[in-house]
Amino acid sequence: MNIKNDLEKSIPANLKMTESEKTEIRYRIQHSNEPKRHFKPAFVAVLFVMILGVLLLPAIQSIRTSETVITAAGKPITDEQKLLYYEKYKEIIQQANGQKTGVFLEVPPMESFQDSDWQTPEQYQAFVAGILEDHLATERKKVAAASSNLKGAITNENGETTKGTFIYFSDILKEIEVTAKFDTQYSKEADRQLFAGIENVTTNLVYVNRGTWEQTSYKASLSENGEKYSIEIEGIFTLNNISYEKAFTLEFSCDKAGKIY
Amino acid sequence: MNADEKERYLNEAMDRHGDYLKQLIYTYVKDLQKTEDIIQDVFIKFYKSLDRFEGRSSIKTYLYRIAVNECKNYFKSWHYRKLEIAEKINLWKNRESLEAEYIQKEQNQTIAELVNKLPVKYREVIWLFYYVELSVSEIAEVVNCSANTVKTRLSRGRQLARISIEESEGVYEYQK
Repeated sequence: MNIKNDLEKSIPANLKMTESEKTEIRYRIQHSNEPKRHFKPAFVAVLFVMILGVLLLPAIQSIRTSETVITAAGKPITDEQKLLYYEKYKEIIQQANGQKTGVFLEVPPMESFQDSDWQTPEQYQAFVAGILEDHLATERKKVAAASSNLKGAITNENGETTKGTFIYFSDILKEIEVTAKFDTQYSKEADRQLFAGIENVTTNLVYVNRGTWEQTSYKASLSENGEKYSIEIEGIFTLNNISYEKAFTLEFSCDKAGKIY
Repeated sequence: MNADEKERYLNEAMDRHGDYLKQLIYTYVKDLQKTEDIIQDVFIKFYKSLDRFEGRSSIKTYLYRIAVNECKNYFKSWHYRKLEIAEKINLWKNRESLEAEYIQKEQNQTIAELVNKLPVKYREVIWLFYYVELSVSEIAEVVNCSANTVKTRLSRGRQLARISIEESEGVYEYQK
């Protein structure tokens, strides 16, 4: 094993230039070099636009003096507009931050914005939603990918069931175990065991030599007619004097015989 | 340079360097679609600038330089820049050990995973040195800095990725 091989494994397999890409490049170069031969139609079109412009000029001028035109990204906007936009950006970010515990979005200082960076609030909102969704999708993907290595739920002689999952911070995946004591009860109606209660929910990191975890709260909700408990856990992970707030959810299910998984 | 010569240079460049260039671009932008867009722009720019290419560097370093610049231009664009996503941080940070954030690893992380989490300036020199196998002086031309800066970044990058190299044997030892 050498570094080159290891690096290679981190990029998509078969990431190579295809013949069609090469053809596309040659095509684009060729067509950017081709002389423009279509003079007559272009000339006529330009003449038409000029005539139209001359006829419409008085009308255009009266519109422009009466309002400020808000343009799309890349076009300059007034300083007043920038201040308004920036306040809107902050509101949008505040709302986005409220959507998930532990995710913190921040608008960079206004002075760092270039002219081309200014977007309408609607565009900014869509952009933020995309960023947040990408981040959450990355989290889901990383946790899902790592979760195939997890062992299943184990119940000990004290009736406590432990199950593992991963929690994700910026580029860090930590394996964490959730332990809870469940009660199950036979339901005549459903003709099976169902959850009847839960207590003593605790959480612990699997690898304790790198960082600490402190659970701050949990909330358990029963669903699927008593077949499933969703436990939402909040806590603080600390490593190298940096702390991260985190919330995650783990589900426990109960099979017909009362076995918890 | 006439059109035939330029086309020959272009074809040779795409055949020889296209795969590595595409892979390198991916390590910057980490998006397949964007990688494909940028690689096209790189070769088109390369072709169009061949008349100005005075042979002070090799075609290889010239190409890689265009690619690195295109990636960095992308980083400066609206679509990439404007939001900082961070986990909520309790501000007891020890400023001296900011770079230590990159050394928080689970036991089974590979070298590549560690390298790919480094800041761009360290990550790019490691990729250019170990994967593309450019020399230090070639890397200096590509990223537009001195050879000493490249060496410093390589050394720091290795340290951050916890690589210790047995150069003579060509193998590495990963510090866990």
